[in-house]
Amino acid sequence: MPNKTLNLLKSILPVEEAGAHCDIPCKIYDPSSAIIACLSLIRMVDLINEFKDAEQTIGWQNKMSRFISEKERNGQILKEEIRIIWGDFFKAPQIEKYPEIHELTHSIMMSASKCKQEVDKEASLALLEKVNRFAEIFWGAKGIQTKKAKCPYPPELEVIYPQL
Amino acid sequence: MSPELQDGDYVLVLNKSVLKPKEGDTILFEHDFHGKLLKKWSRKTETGVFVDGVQKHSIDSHTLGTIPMKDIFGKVIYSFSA
Repeated sequence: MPNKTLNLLKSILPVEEAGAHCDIPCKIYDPSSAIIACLSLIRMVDLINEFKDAEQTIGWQNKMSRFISEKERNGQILKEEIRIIWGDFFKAPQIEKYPEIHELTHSIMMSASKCKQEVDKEASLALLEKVNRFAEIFWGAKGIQTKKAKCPYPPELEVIYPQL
Repeated sequence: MSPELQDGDYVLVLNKSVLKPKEGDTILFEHDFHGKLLKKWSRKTETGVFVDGVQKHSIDSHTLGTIPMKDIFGKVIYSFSA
């Protein structure tokens, strides 16, 4: 269309911008990242507890610092992965089907913070149960069946896997 | 809405009070989070209109939610590239 004609049309008709795409990448959501982060956090708790009574050499300090740092990092990753799926994936149809999702997400945020602040195996296992439930809901919202199976690496705990 | 619509294209939208949009039409609607969007009317549901893009990886109402009729402006009747 010639520019003159276009400019004339724009002067007499209201022109607004509309989009046709949203966040990129589209549709790529997977709670497995959150599950792996949770398992890593639990593994760090186990390692901290395993070595806590060892002789406090410089090597020990280095090891413990790294375990603590990794626990903190994975706690943060877990929170971010859950937050993104909750905020970007769950919309009215999914929330209607799973009304517990808001409270569950908030509970995961609180539990993950507690696990970052403390070295508490029981709290970290409770966190994993919540993350598993979140994963179950996510896959259920997509119409995909899930199963619980022991992960094939330490801490060898049961986690939710999609049945694809 | 690629390849039907490309970035920078102009569309002419007719208000729904003049011409009622129906299944298969490209509609303009207001989304409470993403603002004004153009998508295809896929089907009517109890809660609103289920919308979809053109390509299989486009986001649809599984992500956007269904669109209430009150949030639909109208249908695209003409489009062109500047």
